[in-house]
Amino acid sequence: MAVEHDPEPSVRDQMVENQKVIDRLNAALARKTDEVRIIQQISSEINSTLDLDGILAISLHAMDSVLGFKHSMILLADKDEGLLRVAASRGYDGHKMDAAIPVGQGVFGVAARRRHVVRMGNIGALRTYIGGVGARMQAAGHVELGRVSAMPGLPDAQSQMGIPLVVKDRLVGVLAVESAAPGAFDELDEMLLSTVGNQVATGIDNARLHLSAIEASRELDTANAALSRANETLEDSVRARTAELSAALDEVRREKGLSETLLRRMAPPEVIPLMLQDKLFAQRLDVTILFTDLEGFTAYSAGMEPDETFSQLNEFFSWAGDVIGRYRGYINKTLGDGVMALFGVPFDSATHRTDAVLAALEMQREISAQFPFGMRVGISTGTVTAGMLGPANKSLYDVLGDAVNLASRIQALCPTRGVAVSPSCEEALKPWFRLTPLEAHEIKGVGHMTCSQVVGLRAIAEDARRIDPTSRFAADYLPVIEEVETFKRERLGVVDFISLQARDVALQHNEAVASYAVALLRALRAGGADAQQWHGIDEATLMAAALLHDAGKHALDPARLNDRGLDSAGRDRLRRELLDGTLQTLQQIGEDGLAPIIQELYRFEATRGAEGEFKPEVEILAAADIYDALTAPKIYKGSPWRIVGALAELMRLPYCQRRQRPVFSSFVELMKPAGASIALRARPGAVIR
Amino acid sequence: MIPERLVAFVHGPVVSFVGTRDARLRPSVSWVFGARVSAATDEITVFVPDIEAEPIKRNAEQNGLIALTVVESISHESYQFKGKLVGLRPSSDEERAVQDIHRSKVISHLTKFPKALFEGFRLYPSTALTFSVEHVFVQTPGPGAGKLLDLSAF
Amino acid sequence: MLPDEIRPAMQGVTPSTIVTCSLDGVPNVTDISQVWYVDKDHVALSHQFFNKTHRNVRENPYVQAILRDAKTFQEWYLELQYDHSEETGPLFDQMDMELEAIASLTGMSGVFKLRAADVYRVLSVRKSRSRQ
Repeated sequence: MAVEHDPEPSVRDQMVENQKVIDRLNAALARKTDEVRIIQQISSEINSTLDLDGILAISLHAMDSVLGFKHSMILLADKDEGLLRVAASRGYDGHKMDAAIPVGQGVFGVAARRRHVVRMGNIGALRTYIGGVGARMQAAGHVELGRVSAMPGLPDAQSQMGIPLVVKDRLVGVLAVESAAPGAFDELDEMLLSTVGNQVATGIDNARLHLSAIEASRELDTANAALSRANETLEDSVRARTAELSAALDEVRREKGLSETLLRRMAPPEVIPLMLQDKLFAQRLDVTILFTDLEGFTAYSAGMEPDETFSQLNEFFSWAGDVIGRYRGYINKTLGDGVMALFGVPFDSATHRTDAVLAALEMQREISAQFPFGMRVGISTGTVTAGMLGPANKSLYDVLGDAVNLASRIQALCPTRGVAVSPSCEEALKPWFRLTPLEAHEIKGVGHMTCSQVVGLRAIAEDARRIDPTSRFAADYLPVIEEVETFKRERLGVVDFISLQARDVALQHNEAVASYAVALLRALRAGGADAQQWHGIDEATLMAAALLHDAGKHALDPARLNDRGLDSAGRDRLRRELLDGTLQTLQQIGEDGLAPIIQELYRFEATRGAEGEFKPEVEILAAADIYDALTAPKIYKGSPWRIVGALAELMRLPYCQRRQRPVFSSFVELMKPAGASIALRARPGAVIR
Repeated sequence: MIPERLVAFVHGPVVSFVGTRDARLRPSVSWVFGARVSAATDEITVFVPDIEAEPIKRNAEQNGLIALTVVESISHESYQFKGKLVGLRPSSDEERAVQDIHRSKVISHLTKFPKALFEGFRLYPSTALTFSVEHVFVQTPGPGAGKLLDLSAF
Repeated sequence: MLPDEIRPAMQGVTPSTIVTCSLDGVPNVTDISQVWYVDKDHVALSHQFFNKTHRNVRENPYVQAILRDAKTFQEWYLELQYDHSEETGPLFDQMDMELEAIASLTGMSGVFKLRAADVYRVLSVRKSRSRQ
């Protein structure tokens, strides 16, 4: 830096000079940090009110007390933006502030016209200079000087800074500060005031919108009042007619409400924000498509007025939409009296096949209670292209692909009140559902095809992978399953277990666990010398705990439940959230007496019983839960465990390694295939014959 | 050639600057305090404070080209004299007094400026620079700025 | 090259003095209202009239300027070299808006036209020795 005071500054002088520079920079930085923080505070104050006068007053006060601007004004542009008027001011006692500034005049007028900050510190000097030139030019006859309007503010301001307030391309006004001292404002002042200006502009705009909204609603109130007065003066017959019309109006409103609900289901909710932002691109997805067709609707609606027909159909669509929505599908379109629903859009879902079938089964189960007509359902799985389809401003979310046509044709050959699925689904559905083949058909465009009909969920008792037919359970305790069903219906009718279990396709898991637990308890009671200790356990409590042990599932995102990529920390977190959700649900349905036992169960499963001792009820539940988790069908790759393997795994639990555990040993005895041998001793490894 | 009015102007409470240039055409400028106009010889002597006079003196001796601009700070009336160096010598004691008088005139006239501004200048030692005027230009901002002064009409 | 200390002298509160020189060697001294700060190595002067200063710097780019701090009365000597002119852009706009703001106050809107912002490179800067 070529700054010289003397011909040769000493080293000491240079150090002093450098330190001064550093001190100045530090001071500037500290000031900047403080003031940025204060700006944020001012912003939140401004944004805390919708009252225009309040906003203006707060802004000017903050600018004075915090930023040190002693003379400030907020000028607002009038409707045609030709003039700026003082809406609020501070520091001008004794000054006349009613003059208006023409846009383009002076620092503030130019800030408005050019919509840019203008900051000057030499107004007096420049004014004298230019004024002199102007006077001389006029004297020489070169120019006619224009008219200058009187201005509000300091008559001899040397420094001025104008910040234009612009919202959405409209000039709202100008934030103005001035000073009698020259060079009073620097770049930092400009930056700070610009920031405040943005907040003030938004605040003013909000206040004005709020004001006009209040105005509009006041006008509406006035109109309503006049209307009701008019109504009161009608004669009886007219009044009656009005009542008729009102009832009809309500009915139409309800219909409209139904249709709107329907409309909202026309695109998956996840897709709507993307749609609005024009960011939805076509994608290939693996989805399941469901078609419905009503049987006998034409006959049913013959002789109906058109509006009644529509009303009936809309009711059906709404009801169907509810069921479908509960299983994470959505109605893509209605076709006449039928529905086309999609499962697995717009995001990949692990459960879309089973969700579609469960939705279809529920609809078939419930439809006769709701409507006097029957329904056919066709389901197919395949890869489709999904995205916005249609002419430019009328496009709808839609899918293209063979699976779509197939589902439609399958529905056509489905028996009434049945659910037909394409061959592509069968393999995936077999583990949980009972399927019977339909007649082979020639399907247009596809060829020869044998579809299947879904009869219902597979019975646990018939699932050899869960219950070995040669086990003691199969011999003596199958009726327990029916008892559990009855108990479930009677005591826990508020819980929709299928819907809960559909989230991670753990279908009938809770019923299985309950069945195994009760069977085990009875087996323990029946056998052996120390049978007494088991009598203290209440069967109903055990059943209820087994059925509700993961009721918190309903609040967890299925994507997380089905995420096999979780590390142990992720699994722990999931387990904790599941427990919290379950405890909450227990409270909701008045079963919080079960909380202690369920909490202990989770504690066991978190460490596999590596530490601590547990009550026998908990041991029973743990054994049943872990067993079913291992042997039940799964949606992800990899088969369920074989029964002997699962039982051996139970014996390998740290809990069972530490000591002999009669509960676990008895469970193994209960469930193992006849003749199988599983080491019951505390010994690593298992011997299987 | 230099009209009376202009002589009085230069002797008044004006601020003045002398400009020169070196062999490579690099210009230099300095305040001057006090001036003496000789209407008879069309010569002006200005007093350049030595503290910043080195380049001025060197340049003047090297090529002799001088420009002097004289400004009345309130009205911005100003004139520029251009000409050739006649001589350089140290100012005398009497000329020192002339500078003091000039300074107090300026202070009295330019009341808007604080006294300290002018009192802070190191007026002396100074060099008396005399040059002969060849052209006079109007420097007042506005119409006619930069034009040769119409001496007959002045 | 320009220190923070010099900024107050570049606000146009007190006039600056500049000297230029024609190609045939004749110096020219004039007052201007403001020398604008562009960045640490550049300043700008406003070009409004086709005057001697304007003609000189386009023949011979070297300029010396005296800047004055209105508060401390410190004087600064700058050696400058004319670099280029801008007729559009943020620097031009800023000068133009300021000129417009003041011209409009004296009824001179449209008369006082900014033709360009002349940008100069700073060759050297020093404090004046002339004050005690």
